[in-house]
Formats: sequence, structure tokens, C-alpha cells
Amino acid sequence: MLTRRRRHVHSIHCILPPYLLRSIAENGTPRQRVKALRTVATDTTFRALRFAGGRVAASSSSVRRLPAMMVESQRQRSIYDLKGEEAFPGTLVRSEGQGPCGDLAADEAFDGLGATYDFFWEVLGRNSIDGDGMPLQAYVHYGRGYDNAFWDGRRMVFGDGDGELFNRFTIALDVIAHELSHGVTEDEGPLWYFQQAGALNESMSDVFGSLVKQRLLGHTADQADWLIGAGLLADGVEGQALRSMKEPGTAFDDDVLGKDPQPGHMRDYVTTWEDNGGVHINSGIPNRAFYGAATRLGGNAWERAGRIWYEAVRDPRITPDTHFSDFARITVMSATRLYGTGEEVAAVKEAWEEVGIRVSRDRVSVPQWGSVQPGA
Amino acid sequence: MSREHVRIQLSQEGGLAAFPGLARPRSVELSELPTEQAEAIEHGLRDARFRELPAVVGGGGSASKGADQRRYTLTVEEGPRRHSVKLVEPVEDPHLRELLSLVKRATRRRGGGH
Repeated sequence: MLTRRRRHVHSIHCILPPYLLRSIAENGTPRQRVKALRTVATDTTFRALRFAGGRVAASSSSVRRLPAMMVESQRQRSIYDLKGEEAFPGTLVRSEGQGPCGDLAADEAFDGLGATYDFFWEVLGRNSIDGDGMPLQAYVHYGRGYDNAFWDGRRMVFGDGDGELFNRFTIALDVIAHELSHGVTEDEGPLWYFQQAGALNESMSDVFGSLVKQRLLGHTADQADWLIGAGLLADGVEGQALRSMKEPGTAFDDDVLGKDPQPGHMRDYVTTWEDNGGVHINSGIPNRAFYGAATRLGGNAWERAGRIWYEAVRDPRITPDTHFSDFARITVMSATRLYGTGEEVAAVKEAWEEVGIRVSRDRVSVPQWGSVQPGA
Repeated sequence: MSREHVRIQLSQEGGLAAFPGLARPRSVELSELPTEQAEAIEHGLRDARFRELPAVVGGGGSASKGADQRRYTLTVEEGPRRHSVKLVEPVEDPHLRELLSLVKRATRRRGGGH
């Protein structure tokens, strides 16, 4: 039974019109700005549209809540040590409020969850994965030499790596943020984990994963490396990371791992049944579009480009089988809604066009490039 | 079972990133491995009762929902006989996990495998 607690939603969130909140967010004092941004982010308007649109009726999640507007942030992190087993729940080794426990992976996971939580709260006004303060649980030392990390629908799981191909999976902050962001995308939208919708899901995790890292490092769009999982590949592996958002297809080229298969343009889109229809492959295309938008806008990528993408993934027009072209159009609409018809919209349009997707005033089009088979 | 005619093949898909080199089936003849390693795999196959396993094993209760989870296909050929099993993480049987770990090591040698 679903037992999500419903909060009382205070009517104050209806008082300030969105344009005024945006103005405060852009022109107010830092304190005003933070408050206004949080309020805009928790605006229930678009979620309400989703309910009205009947999509919930078709969704498997029967109960969804409207997030409270005025809430206090409260991180609730728990790290469990599975001690090489693949069986849950393991042993609790660090909870919120406790200092480092001395286990490197556990402490990295704890800090990574904190940085990710802070990003969503302080930048996007989102209170944890579900927008409602969901406690964050990470499990480390999963399996022996296990070389993966995944989100299983309610928790993040990290392996230690085999030491030959991969180091421990908590070593890269953007990987931790990537896994947590899967929870956000899952909570927000109905995207299937398959083909283009799945690749968008993957791309959102890379976008937020990279932004969490950029913010922690204080890197602007120009300074960022735009790599996902830098440091994760072990010594001796020919590669610098799992993926490159800037130059998809260039992250690794190794005799064991093979060559990075990501395309960065629709003409190179890979049609495959493997990898859930290429979710980790074709995500290179929307990844590069985000990189293009962020670098065109300059400055901190999380401030405008990140917000546009976040608003897009929360848009009620996102459906289970959303294609790249649908999403491109939604990002353009989000940019317009947030910033008007200025440089933001132009930057987003140009970025999509650079990867082969043209969004015009009336329609979105993708030229017929044909398809590429994996390994071709 | 004669070690001469046993070939083990492993492929994987899913996971945090797409690695064509790991997705491509890699196989090894038991007879090509050091004796100790070959014996360990033989024991692993026996302990996991691999030849009696159904076509799909593992996955737990949330495999369909989670992202970045991984699947392996492990195939054992003994002359004309061939048995293939898809292992979906999390693999709960410790014998099967041990077997998977042994086969990974055997097939991922740099410059090794086929």
C-alpha cells in the first residue's frame, strides 16, 4: 500500500505571480533570490496540469502528492556497508550528524549524497529525490570486486570495482549524483527506460551529475571537463572517463572495454536492442545538446541551462515514450517560460540544431539521417 | 567431463555505461587456462548446478524499475551440448556469484579471450 504522507499546502504559494518571483530571482538580494528560486521550483502549477491532463490515470503510481512550498531543508543520509555481500540490508556505518566513519567508500558516498542533496535544494529548490524530504540511502562494498553502481528504484548501490578495469564507484562525485538523479527523474516523470526515452533518462542523470560536480568545484561551463566518471577507470585502461558530454564517443578506447560508442549527432544515432535500446549510447546526443546550451550561455551551467533542463523534465508534456525531438521542443518552451524570448531560447535552439534537431516556432523536425548499427 | 572440450562464454549488457568490449561475447577454452583456474571454474559450475539452471536467473524484485542494472549471459559448451543462462543482477545465489566472478576473470584477461 502506498502510504505517502500528504502535506498541507499553504495557500501563500498562490500569492506571488510567477513573473514577480522570476524578477526577484534575477534581481533580488542573494537572500531574496534563494527564497524566490525555491518558490518557483516548488510551484505546483505544472504538476497540477499533469493531474488535469489525465496522465496519472495511465500511470502505475496511483498517488502523487503536491510538494509543500515552504519547507526547511533536512538532509537524512544513511550509509550501509554490505561487506562484499550482495544481500541487503548490510550494516549501518554512518548516519546524518555523524562524523567520518573512516571507511573511504562510505564517507565518499555520504559526502556525495550531501553535495547532491544540496544542489537540488539550493539551486533547484527540490527537497530530496521525491521533493518531499525522502531519506537518502546508499549501500557500499556491494559484492566482491563488483564493477558497477546502480539505482534500484529506492536506493543507490556502489561496488568497489575490480581494480583492473574500474576503481571504487564512489570515487566520482558525478557518478553518485548520476544515480541519485535517476531517482529524481523517476519521481518526476513517466519516462520508460528504453530507447530515446531511456536515453533522455540517462542524459538527465549525466546533466545533473555533471552540474553537482561543477558546482562543488566552482567551475564555469568553460572550465568544466564535462566528463562523467573521471577517475573511475583503473590505471592501465585507455580512457579518461565513462562518457564525455562535450565530445561523445571520445571517453575511452581500450582493448578490453572497447571504444566509447556514444554518438553526438542524430545522423549517428545507434539503433540497437542492446542496452535497453541504447540508453547509455544515444544519451550522448542530448548530453551534447546540454553542453552546447550551457557553453553558449556561459557562466555557471547550473544557473540557467540546468534550470531549463530541470523544468523540462518536470513538464506535464513529458510522456513515457518522449523522443529527443519532443524533449528539445519542451526545453525551448521551458527557456521561454523562465526567461522570455532572449538569449536563453536562442542558445537552447542552437544547441539542439547542432546535434541535428531543429526546433522552430511551430514545429520540431529531425532530418532523416538513417540509422547506425552498433559497431558500425 | 573432459576439460579438452569445454568452452565458456560470457557477455554483459546494461550497467552504468555501454562498453562494447564487455558486451561482445568473450570465450575461453578451459584447457587453455592454468590448471588451478580451470579447476576452480569446474567446481564453480558444479556448485552452482549451472547445467540445471533455467534460462533466466536473478533480478530480485525491482529489476524492471531500476536504472543502470546489468545482465550477463553465461554459456557453457561441452562438445555438442550447450547451455546458456541469463543472469540478472542482483544475483542472490553465492555459488552463482562466485562462478560469475571466476568466469569474468578468465575471459577478461588483457590480450586473452576470443
